[in-house]
Amino acid sequence: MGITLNYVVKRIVFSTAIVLGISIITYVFIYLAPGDPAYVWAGRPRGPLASEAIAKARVELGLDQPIYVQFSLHVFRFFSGNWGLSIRFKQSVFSLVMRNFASTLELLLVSFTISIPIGLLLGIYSSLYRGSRIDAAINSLSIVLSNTPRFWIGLAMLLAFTSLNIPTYGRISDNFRGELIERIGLYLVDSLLQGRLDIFLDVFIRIIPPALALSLYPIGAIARVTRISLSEALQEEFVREAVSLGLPRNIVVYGYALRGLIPSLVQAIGLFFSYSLIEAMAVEYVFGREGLGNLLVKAIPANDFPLVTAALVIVALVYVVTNTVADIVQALINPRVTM
Amino acid sequence: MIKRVLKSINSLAFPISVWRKRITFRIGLIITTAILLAGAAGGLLPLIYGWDIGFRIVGESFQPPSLGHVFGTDDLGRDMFIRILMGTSRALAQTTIVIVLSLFIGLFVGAITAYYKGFVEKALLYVTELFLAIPSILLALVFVILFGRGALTVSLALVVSWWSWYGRFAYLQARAVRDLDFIVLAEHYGLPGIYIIFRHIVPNIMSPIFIQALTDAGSVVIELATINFLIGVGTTSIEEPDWGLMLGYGVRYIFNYWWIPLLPGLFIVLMALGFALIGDSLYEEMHPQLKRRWKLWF
Amino acid sequence: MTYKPTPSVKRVVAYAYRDAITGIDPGVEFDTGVVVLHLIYEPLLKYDPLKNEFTPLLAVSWEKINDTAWLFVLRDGVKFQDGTPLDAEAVKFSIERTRDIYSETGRGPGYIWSCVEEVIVVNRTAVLFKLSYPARVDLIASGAYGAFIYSPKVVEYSGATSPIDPRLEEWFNEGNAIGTGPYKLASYRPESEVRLVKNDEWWGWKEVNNPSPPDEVIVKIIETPEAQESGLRAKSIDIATNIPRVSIPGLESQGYSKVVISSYHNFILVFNTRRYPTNIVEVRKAIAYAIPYDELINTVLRGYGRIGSGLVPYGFPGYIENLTYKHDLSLAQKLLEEAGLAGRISLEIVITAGYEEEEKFASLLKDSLAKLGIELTITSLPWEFVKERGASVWVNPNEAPHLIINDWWPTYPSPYEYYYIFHKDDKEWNWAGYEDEEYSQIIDEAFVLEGVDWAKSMELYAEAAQKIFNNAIAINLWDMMHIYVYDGGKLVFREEAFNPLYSYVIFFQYVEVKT
Repeated sequence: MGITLNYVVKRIVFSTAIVLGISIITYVFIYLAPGDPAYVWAGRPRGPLASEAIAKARVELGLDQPIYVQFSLHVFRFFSGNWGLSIRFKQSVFSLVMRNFASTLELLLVSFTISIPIGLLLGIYSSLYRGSRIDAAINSLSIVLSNTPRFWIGLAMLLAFTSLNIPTYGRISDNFRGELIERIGLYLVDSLLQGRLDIFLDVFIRIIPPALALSLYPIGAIARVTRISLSEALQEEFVREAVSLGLPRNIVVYGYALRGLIPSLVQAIGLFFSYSLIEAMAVEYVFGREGLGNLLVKAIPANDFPLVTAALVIVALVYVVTNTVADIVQALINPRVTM
Repeated sequence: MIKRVLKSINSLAFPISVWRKRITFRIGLIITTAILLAGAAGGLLPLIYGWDIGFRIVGESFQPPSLGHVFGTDDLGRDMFIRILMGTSRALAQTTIVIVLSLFIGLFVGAITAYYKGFVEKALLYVTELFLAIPSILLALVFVILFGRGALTVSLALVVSWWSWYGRFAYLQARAVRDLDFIVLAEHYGLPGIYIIFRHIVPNIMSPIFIQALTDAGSVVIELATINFLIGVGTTSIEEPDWGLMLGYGVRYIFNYWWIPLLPGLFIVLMALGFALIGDSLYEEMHPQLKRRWKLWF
Repeated sequence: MTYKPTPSVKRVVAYAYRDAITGIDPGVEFDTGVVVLHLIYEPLLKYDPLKNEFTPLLAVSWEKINDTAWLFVLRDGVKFQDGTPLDAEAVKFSIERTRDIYSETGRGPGYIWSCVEEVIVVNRTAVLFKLSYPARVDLIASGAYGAFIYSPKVVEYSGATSPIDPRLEEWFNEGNAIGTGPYKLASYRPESEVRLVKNDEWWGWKEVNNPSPPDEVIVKIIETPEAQESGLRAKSIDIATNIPRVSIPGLESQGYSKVVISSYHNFILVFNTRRYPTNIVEVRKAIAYAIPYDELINTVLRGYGRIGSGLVPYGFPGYIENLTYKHDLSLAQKLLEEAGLAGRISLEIVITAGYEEEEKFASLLKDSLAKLGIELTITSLPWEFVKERGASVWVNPNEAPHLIINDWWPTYPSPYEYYYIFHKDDKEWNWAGYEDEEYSQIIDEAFVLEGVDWAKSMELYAEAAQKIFNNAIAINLWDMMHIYVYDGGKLVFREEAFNPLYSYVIFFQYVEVKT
């Protein structure tokens, strides 16, 4: 087993460093940005005493203190778990971020469940038939897929599905909104836990088009990576040996050649997953779904630094966690890899 | 002199052979040439017709494509064809800046990382990974706040976001080259590290990375367009004929006046596709793999 | 695992609103939250400025006893949504809290109650407003903001120590509401949607006599026009408020309907009077004459709107006709020459991002000014940044833009709400940097006279308006009309569902849902 304590410690340190880095960047960024969080916190006052209200808000937010004091308070509170109230929405930052993150996460998970198998299959087939028309076709397809803006495809799908009268806008039908009991925040899971198949189907139908739109780039990318790596792997000596020993094609390919790919594949997938987090923003926008992107778009102009920091930290953490998981999977599969 | 000319003709042999062999290359080259021409035209238009040619209201709004206005008019009566051409030159200029700068930074950082092992290597690797993790939109926003809006600011922000991609790639390539005999010999002779990197390592890892960059040009265009689509900070004013911005403002008309958002979108895809096809077919050529041999086996 | 078909006949209406909800504390909320608040809470009265008519809500009768005392008699038998009855104590509590939060912290619309020295509980169903100076309490009590009545028990529920303890506001914003209105708050997610369910115990159902009001109202936050249009077409929204105007005929031909409601929401172009060259009157007037007013109606508003005259919008108390300029480029040219301006001038205009009308106006103006040799740079920013740049005219006038558009709507029916924008003491909203003693005095006097001699008060306001017009300080470009596009097959709106004084509020108790 390749995972050592050393590795775990390194990872934790790295994650903390990233979180700290993001807090710093966000704070500086909001500090320098035009706009005044105190104005928003004061409720955008319009009365004659508005200036006083804004001044008071400034004190409440601690903005009258020197920057290093402000910043240390901010970081300290953040790490101690008190994420505070959102300046824009006046609600707990934690619950705001969590419920929107759940939506984005659900979309990403479904998207990856679609893209990994399809991408793999396409890659394998084009690799096996390399140089032939099929290969060229698949290759060109994956190039086209990776080079089309996600929101464009999303828009096209939205239009297509709407004209077919299939509901796809939003996360869940309004009729079910009030009925679903949210336990985890992943509606697909929650509806099943509640035993409501009708709600499950509704959520499912609505999540497929955006997930598909989101998955096109990963499909293309995974297919290409698979194709290249598999082609190289198939040239190795052991393949020839296996064939000469009379092993059927499928076993050679799936059982042996692919094994060697898994590390780089897993790493690539990890990279794409975190990259997709931002892409998901555009897709959510088009399909009217809640999500981190939606939240950030509203919070940034309001200089809502507690909310923006929290959201960005989540994004960074997803990246770190995904890469860590990718590394761990690699280590598990290939005991020769040491961390 | 003649030798030089012959040499350069010689180096064209490779692309020419690719042209002959691969249809994807041909398609890609045709598309890209068309885009380049459009970009040139777009760059010349203000010089010929005046500084406000991109904003001028020339007719009725919402005219569909016709003889008078090849791409129709937009919601204010501006000619779409002119705006798309100008958008092409903008896109090309920005993409070039991003690719060229990030390529060079990435190449050198990658080579340095591979050459000096040990602590320098570990540190630079961490830095590279850190920058790889930062989403480009965020970087773009930060740059805009620090330096103001505009195409140049966003392009530079993207450079800071993209170099790490090439940095990593270069590192992997350079690692293989680093331990080759002639490098080690050069070291023994006491040649300075910088010299070795510049003169020996980089030239040997350049081509695959160049090709990668060419293929990536597409992604860069799309990223630039996405940033302007969502938050429009890559322009100084909402009037500017930028593809992403035009898409962003045009998408609300998708149901009734489809050409307003469709055309900029189409051009984005075309430009991305053109570069990607060229890059990909060049890559294929450079890595001739055993074709179908094992089809005989299976 | 069960498969339950959709429960029979539940009437759900989804209303798309373009901006996130800013809060739902009925005593503090001053912004988009009213869309929700007017369904959960009620003020004492409702007012229709066009007809100059009051509708009794929580008060059934009211009279002015003398200049500084007004008596209101409350409706009997009304209950709050937690079961406690509405009484004079609740009225006293609500109004004094709203007033006190403002005077203590400067936040919220409580300034409308500054004239109230004390709310006296006469008996269980009557209150006496004791004023410190004369004022139109009936108009104030029917305001769009800050006039809601809520139960004193909220202090207890929230664990606050006093009415003005911030804890109470936090409690409201966590998603709690106890009002008397036709709908109850079911869930509150200000960034994406707010859900309301029908309050069967509302006193007004008998009077309204609506056999099929919505059982559930969902206010969805959808910012972009294309998203609203998609949502409408996809049937996940029933009412859209931000459809691109050009798409409306197309939607109508496909079976959707529209309602056009005039509003007191107007768009005021403000000149920076402290920066060259807009500090010169002739230059400002020249720009005023360069604005293509006809095209405004046709291209920008697509016919849905009215060119503004004076600062006060049409139909609002204090509206004045004929305070308009006209589109005349040669006159503009002459004025520029008089001012001695030569060569190419560069001006900057700041507009709010996402406001289609402002964007179009700016582009048209740019084209028009180019003909005069003036280059206009259009900067489009999110609202909070627009405000910051506008207010910077007091701090650093040469950094503030030459032109800026401020969209405005009133808190309650008084012309002062509009004229105050350019008061010399208003450093937050006076983006013109206009510091005129006389003007400020006139409107202050007019305000005080409102409660005493309404006619004289209006005269004074007219004087002030003339000053603004003659000096071209600001131009009310247009009075906005709000267009609601909806699924005509599903909804029928009664007249009372809309009221221009309560912007973007749809009184769903007057909406009939067909199933």
